[in-house]
Amino acid sequence: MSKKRLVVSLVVFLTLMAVLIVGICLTGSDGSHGEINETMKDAVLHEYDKIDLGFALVNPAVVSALVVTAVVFVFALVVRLFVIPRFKEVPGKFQLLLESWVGFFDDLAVSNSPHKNKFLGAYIFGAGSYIFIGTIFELFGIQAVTVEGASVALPAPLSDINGALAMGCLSYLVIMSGGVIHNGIKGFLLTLKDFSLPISMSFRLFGALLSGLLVTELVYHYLALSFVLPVIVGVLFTCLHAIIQTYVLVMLTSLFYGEVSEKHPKKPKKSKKIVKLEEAQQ
Amino acid sequence: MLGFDIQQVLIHLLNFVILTCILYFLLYSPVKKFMDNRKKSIADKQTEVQNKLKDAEEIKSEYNRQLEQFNAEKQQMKLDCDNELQSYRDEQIKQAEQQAEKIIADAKASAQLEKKKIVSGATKEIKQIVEEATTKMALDMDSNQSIDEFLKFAERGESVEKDK
Repeated sequence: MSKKRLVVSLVVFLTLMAVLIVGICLTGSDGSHGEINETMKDAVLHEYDKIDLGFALVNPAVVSALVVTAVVFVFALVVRLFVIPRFKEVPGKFQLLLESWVGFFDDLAVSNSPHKNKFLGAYIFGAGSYIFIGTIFELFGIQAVTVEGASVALPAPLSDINGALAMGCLSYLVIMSGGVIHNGIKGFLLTLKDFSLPISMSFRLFGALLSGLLVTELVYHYLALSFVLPVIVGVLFTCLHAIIQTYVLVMLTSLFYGEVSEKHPKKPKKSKKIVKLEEAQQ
Repeated sequence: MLGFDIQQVLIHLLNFVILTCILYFLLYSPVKKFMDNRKKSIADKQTEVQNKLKDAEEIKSEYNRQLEQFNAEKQQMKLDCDNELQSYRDEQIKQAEQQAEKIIADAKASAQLEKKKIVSGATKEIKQIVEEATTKMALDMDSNQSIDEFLKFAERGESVEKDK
């Protein structure tokens, strides 16, 4: 790059930064957005920001979940209609992405539950995709209007305790169903042994995603922290959360599913003579 | 407590079940089916290649076996030809030797016969010369002259015999 071009680029960059800073200062609100305590408390408890769905007042995370489902549905439909029929023996970039996406969850299901994995593969594919896309969805900051008329950015669906509980409990039920179907009452008892699993899975999801949300809220609340830092805090942490939480939940689900659905060979019953002999030896 | 609401939990559950079904039917199942088919197709091709390789190996071993058999036959034929050639050569040499012996024997016999003929011819001539000389000596010349004549005739007789 020539010296003249470098100088021009630097001047343009600095001018852009100055314009942005001036714009931020001029368009600032009058400070009526409430205290940070209230904002963070509402992010956890959702006492004030309710959205009317027509039949019920729900938290913004429910709307997020519905939007994510709608987007995924449209995407999946387009892919199914226009991309999958044109799949080639030697995959292109997008086909490779889709195959890696499906292959990752399928391999996970096969490796953790080698005997029965068809349903498990489908479930962890759905769950993993939902957690990942739902968490990434937070980055777009799509706005919704609350019943009070305030604007609220739609959070990740699983940063709501209700969404996280639904996911955790459903995963537990899937594990239990695998145990019952393949091992009967024994599988049911094996699943009950880990009774804390739905709570731990739910709160792990909820805690991880909520902490990300709270940190982001905290960072954005102060003007001084709104430069550069959100790139790391907002984007990087959200991406890491998305990957880590997806991996943790699908891994746990597939591991427990494989454990409770594994068929154990029955121990041969000892005859009375052998029992008597053993007693005599003792 | 913590904003827990059973209605919202159920909405989340319903939403998630619908999403999972959508993803299963629209993405997971078709992509997996395609991947399985491709895997099966590759496995089939691999099996086909293995079978062809096996066939090729069998054909190669068959060819090698035939080649070895051909080489052995060639070797045997060469050996037979050599033997036949050797016997033919020996026979030819033997025949040539016999012919040579016969020629030599014939030549010897012919030479012997010629010698006898020449000797008998010379004997007749000598006899004739001696008779002529004796006659001449007795009739025309004195004794010394006759002896000289006789010797001349005798020398002439030798030179004639040599010439012949």
